[in-house]
Amino acid sequence: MDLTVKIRNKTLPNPVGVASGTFGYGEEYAQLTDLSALGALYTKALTVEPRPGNALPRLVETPAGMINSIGLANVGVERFLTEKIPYLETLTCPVILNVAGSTEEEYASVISRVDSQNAIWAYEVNISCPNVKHGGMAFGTDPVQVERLTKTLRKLTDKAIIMKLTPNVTDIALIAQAAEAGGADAISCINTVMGMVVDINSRKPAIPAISGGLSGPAIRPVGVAAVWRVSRVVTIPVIGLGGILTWEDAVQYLLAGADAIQIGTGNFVTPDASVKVLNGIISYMKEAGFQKIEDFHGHF
Amino acid sequence: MKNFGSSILNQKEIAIGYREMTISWPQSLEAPLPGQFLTVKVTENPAPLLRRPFALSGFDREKNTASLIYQLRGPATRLMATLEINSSIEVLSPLGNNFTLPEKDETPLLVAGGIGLGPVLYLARELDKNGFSPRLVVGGRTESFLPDLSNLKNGSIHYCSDDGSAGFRGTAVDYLKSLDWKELPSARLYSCGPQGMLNACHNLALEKNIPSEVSMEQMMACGVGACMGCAIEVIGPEQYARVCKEGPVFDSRRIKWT
Repeated sequence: MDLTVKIRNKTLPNPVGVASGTFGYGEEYAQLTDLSALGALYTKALTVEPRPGNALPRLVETPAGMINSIGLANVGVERFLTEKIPYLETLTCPVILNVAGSTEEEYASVISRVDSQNAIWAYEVNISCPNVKHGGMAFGTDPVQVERLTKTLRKLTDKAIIMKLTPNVTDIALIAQAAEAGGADAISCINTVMGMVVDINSRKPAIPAISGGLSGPAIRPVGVAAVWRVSRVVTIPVIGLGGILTWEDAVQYLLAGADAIQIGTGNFVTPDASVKVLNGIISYMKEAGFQKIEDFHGHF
Repeated sequence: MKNFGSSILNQKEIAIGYREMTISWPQSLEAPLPGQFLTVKVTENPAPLLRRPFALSGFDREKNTASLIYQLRGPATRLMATLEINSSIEVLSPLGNNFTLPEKDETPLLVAGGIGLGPVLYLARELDKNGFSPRLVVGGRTESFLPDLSNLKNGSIHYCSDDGSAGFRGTAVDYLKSLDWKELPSARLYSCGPQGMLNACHNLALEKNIPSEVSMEQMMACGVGACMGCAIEVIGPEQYARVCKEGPVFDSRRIKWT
């Protein structure tokens, strides 16, 4: 059985990754799950300058989901290089750096400054954060800007570039096509869905940011549909995420056209969800007689 | 730190709306320290989704049991109350930091309000066992909201109720203020409870110039320091600290009280 997933000129050992912002830099989960079994570890988003994050509280639970407004809290490039890279260098799984910014220059600057690091396997470019004013969603909702940003970043590195898309658009397929046209090596979809909770006692939004990003099983059907639509129109691999808790959820994504998946909020519920999901996928493949990940595709 | 399957050994109401649950603890796992917490996966269903964090309220190494106190507040805790003895739950622990132990000559003053009883009770029991004479002050609205606690060997328990139906009439902080502080030359304050109570404890500690630690609460998702969701505002080079990682116990002078 071949579980590998080819992205650009390299292969992920298996299709199960852990999503950016839900797994820190891996160290936080090292005692709770086998990091060497991960298909990929997508780091917390990195911006050029450190960001303290948004006002409090940052979380509210919703039916089968949660809304977050973390605000890309991260240590910035300088401290990333001194404090985080040494640990990432010890990991055997592919480490994919999630990159965020508010201008094209900021994205470019992050990549230029970290590109020599061997610990970084690829970049996932966050053009979909709903929680900061210029957190990339301005890029992610405009196909022209997506293509231009992808082209700019493409010139800066030989590493794979994965564009992470927002579902908060009229047609995610158009955005995915723009990313491919710009030279992207893969598409991650989806980032969180914009959501809001109002506290009827205080008569105010539950979080000071007013709205935030909805994640968890509540958005899984939105993600599966996005993967289906995107995988129809691009030739590059599609990485599906949104509400995956179990292997059955992951298999839905793969059957809808995903080549790989990420577990996000599911890590909070089950710290070793990645291992369980991978084992479930393998059992499913055995039973179905699938030899490789592509065997999930083309059933409908 | 480990995510483990645990058996519910006992569940009982300790005051109106408050329950204490005793669970089994793996022999191979380190003992939780007073102040540390666990998270419980309440259901295998996708709702309520997130694990619920609770401070440990007690631990017994010989029996390998731990306990936690929870308040019936929403769907998750109502579900917990229906779990039967011997049924299993998934627990992740020990998480977070712990209270600093007092110096030999210090009098530990422990203040608990409402659901804040858990970590303070565990600390009181541990200090009591280790030769300290902790004074545990438990505050609540009225008698029925106050738990009936087994007595401490060396220490003492002081109940306070807003309506005077049990113990001292007034808040736990009012009670502390009424003490003869000349008899407490070197007190150390520990508190957990509503934000207003913690702030009042902090102010009292400043006034009396004594060390003070507070156990903080914040909405939490991962519990292990990964998601940055449970941040609170602190004073220092960093604007925020994670309750699950740098906390839940903080020097009250480090908190940015609002």
